Amino acid sequence: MQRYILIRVAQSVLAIFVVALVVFLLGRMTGNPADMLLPVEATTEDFKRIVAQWGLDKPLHVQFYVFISNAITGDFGTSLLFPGQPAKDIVIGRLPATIKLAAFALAIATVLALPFGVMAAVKKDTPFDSLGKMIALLGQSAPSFWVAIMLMWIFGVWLGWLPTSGAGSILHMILPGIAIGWFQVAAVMRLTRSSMLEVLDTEFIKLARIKGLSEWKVIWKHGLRNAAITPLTYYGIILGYFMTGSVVVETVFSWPGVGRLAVAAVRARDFPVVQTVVIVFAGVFIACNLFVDILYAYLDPRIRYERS
Amino acid sequence: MEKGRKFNSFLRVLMPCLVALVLALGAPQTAMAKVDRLIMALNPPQPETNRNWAGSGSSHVQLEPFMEGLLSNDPYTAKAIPNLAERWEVSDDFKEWTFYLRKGVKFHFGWGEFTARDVVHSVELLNREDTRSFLKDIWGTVEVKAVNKYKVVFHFKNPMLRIDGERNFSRSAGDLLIYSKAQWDAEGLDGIDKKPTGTGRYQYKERKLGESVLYEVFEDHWSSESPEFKEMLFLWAPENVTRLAMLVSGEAHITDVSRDMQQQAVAKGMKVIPSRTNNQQTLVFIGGQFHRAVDANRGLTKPWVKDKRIRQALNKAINREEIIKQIYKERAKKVWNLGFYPTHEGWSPEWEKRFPEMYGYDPEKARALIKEAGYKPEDLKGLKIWSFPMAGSSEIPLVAEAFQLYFQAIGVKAEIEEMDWAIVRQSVREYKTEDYLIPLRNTPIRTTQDFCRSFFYSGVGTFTAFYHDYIDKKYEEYAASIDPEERDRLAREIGNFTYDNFGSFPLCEISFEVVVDPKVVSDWIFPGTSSAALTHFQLIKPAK
Repeated sequence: MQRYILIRVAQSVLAIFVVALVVFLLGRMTGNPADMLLPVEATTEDFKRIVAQWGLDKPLHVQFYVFISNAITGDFGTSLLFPGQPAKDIVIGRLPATIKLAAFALAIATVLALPFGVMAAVKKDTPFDSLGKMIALLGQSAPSFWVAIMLMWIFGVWLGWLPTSGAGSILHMILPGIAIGWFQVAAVMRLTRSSMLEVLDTEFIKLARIKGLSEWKVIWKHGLRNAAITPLTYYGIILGYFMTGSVVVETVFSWPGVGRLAVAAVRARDFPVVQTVVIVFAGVFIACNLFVDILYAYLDPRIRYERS
Repeated sequence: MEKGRKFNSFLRVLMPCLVALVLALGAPQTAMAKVDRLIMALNPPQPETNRNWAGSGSSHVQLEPFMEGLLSNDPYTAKAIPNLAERWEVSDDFKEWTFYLRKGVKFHFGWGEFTARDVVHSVELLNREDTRSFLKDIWGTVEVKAVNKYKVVFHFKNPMLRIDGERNFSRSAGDLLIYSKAQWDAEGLDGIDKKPTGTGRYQYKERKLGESVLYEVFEDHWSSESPEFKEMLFLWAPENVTRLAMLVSGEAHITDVSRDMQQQAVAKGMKVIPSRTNNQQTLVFIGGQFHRAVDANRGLTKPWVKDKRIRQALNKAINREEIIKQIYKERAKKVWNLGFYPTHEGWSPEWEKRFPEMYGYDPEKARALIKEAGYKPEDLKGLKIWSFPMAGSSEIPLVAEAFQLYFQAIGVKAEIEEMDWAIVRQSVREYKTEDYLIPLRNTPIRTTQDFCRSFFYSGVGTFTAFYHDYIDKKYEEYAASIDPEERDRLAREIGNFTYDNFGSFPLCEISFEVVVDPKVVSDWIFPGTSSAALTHFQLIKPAK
């Protein structure tokens, strides 16, 4: 198990390096931040001065070397969109807001999807199952930005029940949380349903019923525990999605998270912030998958025995 | 089957109840609201900072409430008026500007009295290495001297004509905002970043980076005009639809949204308040206009570059009246010659008189001109129109679509290419615009010299739109002259040249419009001519 973890960690570090290189190159291909941030009246001299100050007049490999060697010491450069502010501080400052929103979206997805998925399997081919399929279809076909705008207008403007934007209380999290989480409710519910259907058909469930256990225990204690392995694996992916895929929803709701920061930074060609955001997101994504892999190995004894 | 029928019946009862509930709860409120904190939902400034030298133009909106300049602008006419300077004098050669400063002006947070040394210090800040000031070549070459505590003299390398100077020292385009030397000596950059001081009617209270800035009334301001709202909160919301939702739901009291969305806001009881003067000219440049001798080897082949009849034909294909009606909702005025303004140097009334013949909508004449130039409409291949969103000019993509349709009507196929502003600028810098029409805006409306320097003179700019040796020569004479009549003549010669050579599509000029909740705000008197557009916050009138 230890060897397995060490290998996975080494692979993760390599993955982050590759991500850093790719985002560095892609960023430079999109244009010069001076074109974005200097006024139209800027003279050729102003342009050259600012470009030199930002180190963008150096060859690409020199720029990358400077970036990586500073990044290893924790210095990701100074933001161009927020002059004077270290890029790392800005991103880390926004991270709690994104994590809160991602956790809330995950909670919504779990609270809605798991019970729905289980009941859809238990009550297969009933109206309840059909309702579950309809919710799944809607969730997976509606784009998140459209869902965000609809939720904002229905619940924020017309009904006035919830704030339309910003942060400050748990009420501010509800609409963006649903907008992010709903897509995954569909996926988790369908996974849970199909996994549950498989498990309900197994011999040990029949044995549990023969033994006289209550139906509640059979389904929720014995059935769900085994059926949860598949959706749990998926959780590792969607946790990363909740954080990285929140860019559109955060922008629509003016939620002060990393996603909205990323959009603003990309628009302004704020390379230090863009690079930092992508590296942080990549790190989160990789860490989540690593955690799930380890948890998976722990939960499923068959995998542990195979490994040993 | 029985269960299915029962479920359907349940839905048939439930749905109408839900709809009725939504309609009932969505009923509008009508009571007047008195608020202490005025909330504005605005586009986030770029960059977001308290350092005025690190930003320019529209980014100054975040500084306007608490910082001031030597001059301000009349809220109705935008004319330069005294502010931190009570009066000023200009030498005969226009190189020396002397300001007599107002006495007893206090900085916020106890940083003492405003004096001449603060002016000197503020100019020094504009010359820092990291400055992005668009007037760097002016502030970078001026000598500023504090003659005494209340008198400061600017000695410019080149003549600073009255119209340009008053613009640069006021809020019309100026970025000379006054910082406290005392705070700088004590706290340096940290003080400016964390708790900047100014002399404005509001003082800075708090910034949440990426979210908002909060200001509170400064009780000890030197003027008698005090804001009526004790606090003012700028909330940054990048999306039009979000700002509209914030306004309509009551979470914001003032915002700016596109004209299409303004109609939706008005339908929900909101009110549009325009700036008292026009602050923007919308225009479209024709790319590839490199006509200097040095440009001969650029290999430019497009008909609209080589032949001005093609440029005229494309102009005559455009129905400006319809654009003003449909896109600008009749709230725009035609522009007769790009960059030239009736009250600025070089203006010629002939441009308006000749406009129907030269530029006026006439698709038949457009086709005839193309034929006369030796082409068929289908020969004008590869014409593209850049389309990109621009804060404060959300109509640009619609203008691009309108142009495409008008060209299609005369048989010219033009493609719209959605593009990012950074790539547009890069292409302009690298002379790679031959295939493109470039929508743009002139905001705030520049003086003639400023516009010519930025868009016609190839000597220093990075966004020159029409290059010609004739223009360069005339501009240099114009910029060097201090004789008003000579300047007027030279400017008009440049204007006549660009007019007769159809280097662009002059379109229209518009005011800056905000949308307000009339339950909270009854009016806002502001000229709209500053680079940030929004000023004169003390003239926001609460609803009675």
